[in-house]
Amino acid sequence: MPPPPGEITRLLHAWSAGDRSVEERMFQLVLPDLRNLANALMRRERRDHTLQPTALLNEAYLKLVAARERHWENRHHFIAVAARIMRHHLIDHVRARTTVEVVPLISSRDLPPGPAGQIELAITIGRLLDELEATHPVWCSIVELKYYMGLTDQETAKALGLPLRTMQHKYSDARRWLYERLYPSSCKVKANATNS
Amino acid sequence: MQSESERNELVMELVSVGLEQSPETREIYLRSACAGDAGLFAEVEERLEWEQRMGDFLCQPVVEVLDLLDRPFEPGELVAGRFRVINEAGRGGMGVVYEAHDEKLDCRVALKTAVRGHDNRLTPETVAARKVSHPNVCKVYELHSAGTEFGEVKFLTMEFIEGETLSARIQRTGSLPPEEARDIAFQISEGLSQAHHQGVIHRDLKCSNVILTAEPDGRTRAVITDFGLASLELAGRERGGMSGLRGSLDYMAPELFSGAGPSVASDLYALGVIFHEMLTGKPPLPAEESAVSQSASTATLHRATSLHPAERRCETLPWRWRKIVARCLETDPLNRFVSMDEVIARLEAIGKRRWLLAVSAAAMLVIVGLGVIPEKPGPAVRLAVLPIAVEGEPLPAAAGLGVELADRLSGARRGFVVIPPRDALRNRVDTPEKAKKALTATHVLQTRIRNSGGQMMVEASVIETNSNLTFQELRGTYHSSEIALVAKALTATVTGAFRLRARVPMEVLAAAAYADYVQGISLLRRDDVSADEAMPFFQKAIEQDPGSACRMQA
Repeated sequence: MPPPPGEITRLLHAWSAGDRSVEERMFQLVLPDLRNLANALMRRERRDHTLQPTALLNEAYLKLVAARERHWENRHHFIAVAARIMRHHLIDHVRARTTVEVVPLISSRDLPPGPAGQIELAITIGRLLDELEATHPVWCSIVELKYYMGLTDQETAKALGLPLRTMQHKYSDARRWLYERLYPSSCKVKANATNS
Repeated sequence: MQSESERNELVMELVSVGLEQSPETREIYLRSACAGDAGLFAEVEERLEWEQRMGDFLCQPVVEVLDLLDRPFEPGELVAGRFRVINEAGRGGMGVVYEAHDEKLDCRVALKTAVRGHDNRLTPETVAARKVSHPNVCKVYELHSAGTEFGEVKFLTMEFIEGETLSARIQRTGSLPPEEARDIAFQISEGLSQAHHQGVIHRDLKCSNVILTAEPDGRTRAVITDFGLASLELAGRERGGMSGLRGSLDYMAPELFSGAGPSVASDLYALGVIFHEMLTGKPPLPAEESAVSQSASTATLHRATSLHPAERRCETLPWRWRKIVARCLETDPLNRFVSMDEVIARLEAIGKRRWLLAVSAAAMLVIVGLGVIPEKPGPAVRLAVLPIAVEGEPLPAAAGLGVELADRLSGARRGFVVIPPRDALRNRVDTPEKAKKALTATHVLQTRIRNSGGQMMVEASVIETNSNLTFQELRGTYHSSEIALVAKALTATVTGAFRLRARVPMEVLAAAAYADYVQGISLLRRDDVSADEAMPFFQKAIEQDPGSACRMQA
């Protein structure tokens, strides 16, 4: 049975105001959301990933419990925080996976080919997102859900409560922002070429 | 006036269509779609240009990259100068499992890699799993390491088990037939019991960690693998906490959510979930989902299972299984079984009851020798076999003798109903009059045995309850060890009285084994608790007569 509209928001507010009595009820209501996130991950798994979606979910759940004092705006905010936690978890997982030294990407340096390059990219994007989070938290959530967790456009839009095209618009902006920071020289050259 | 978000949506709509157009038609399309709105056209064009420049930037999700990383070895590769990789055989919670050929020892092995960050857990795994030697636990050999482009990869060599996981099996065929489920449940329990006895907790027990493999004799062997998260219970490693939460959600005991460490009890919970999945094809309803439906509830999530008692989560199970599974799924670990041995005893009881059905059917015709075969209908008879009265020295086999006799006679022909001694006892029936009144019996078999000095004096009568007349009588003296002969004689008394056609005697169970056999039967029938005590008697019977049909049935 879906909760009455606004109930999660009300509970989140009460929770962050220190009312412990609503805590369990609230988690009962948001857990299906978290499960949906995990299911989106599960759907794409061919056999078993070494990274179990449920492990990711456990981790997110526990950290959300620990983050009780946070000021919650609504359930989408809650999902966004869960996505952030999952991103950090994925990056930790990636880091732990390789002994190859990861050099933060600098301008004009090409990614090494293959998985090693993808790992480097994931870690570097993670750092940039820490910066992006302050100014564009929604962009950041979209990148987390789409790029890190592999959700489809529809799933991402639904999880964050955005219209599909709006989400795509923001994702396009976010990618561009990240691309410009990763490859400033290529962007500059391109910009000059366009000007001339 | 168009709002900003409406405009953004329009832009993205045009961008997504534009990306599908060829460069030649794109501009024409966009100009017409923008209908003279130069600002819109410029924005769409710029975004299109950016999309093309960025190409597949951020298009490959990180989770997929991880997937690639999981495969440190390639088929055909010689790893650590010794193991020729044949195939990727599967994946577990910690890494990929490869089928390989050990060129040094010339045998097939499984290589289980551990991804970095997990490989620090390999050593305790080796220590833990190597301690356990049991046919239902995957054998672990050695820990090796090999260099790869991502650095050193550690891997374990272990017994290669060909087959499918229990979860794959359930996915493929749905729930398992109860008989097969019991067999697999029993094997998993045996393996787990052995591990627990050696102080090893699995920690991550689930259907995907059980492999079903076909043995040369056609039987299925269930093997528990992936003691990947197993730890030495007694080594006192740091308990639980968040980092200890590694099992899969459905299989996690409620106490693990509140920070308790893994234990025998949490393994038992996971086992209950496995049983449930085998029998219904699905794990039990998650506690929190059932709690959500009770919107007025203020109970905590961790206590939500108490809103939904374990037994209610087992409603869909075959009734024989409900109590066992519910007990495993108890929210409070203290309410679960104390040990795997208890679970095994309960599983044996399920089996015994089935076994009994098979035996009693067989016994009717075969086991003791004087079988009775169904015959054409005669007058309706309700024969109450009264409990055998023993005088003198105790005769433990007497109770079972009555039970077994009733078994053997029932169904001799249509309209011939045998009321077992248990019913007589329950209704305090000890005379023909009472049998008529309480059990509507038309006849009784009343037997008295005087047991003293190694001799049994047997007096038995078949009495008609209406007239209280004796129909047929038996009087005889037997040696105390000849209880099987007494059974035969009593059967003959009844078959003679009612002219039931007796089969040619076939001595399938040796007379010496009979006393133990019927004692087992008697215990088996009494109740669940006594049923557990019956097995030693059957085993003794088998020892006395190793070649008997009894053994085949067991």
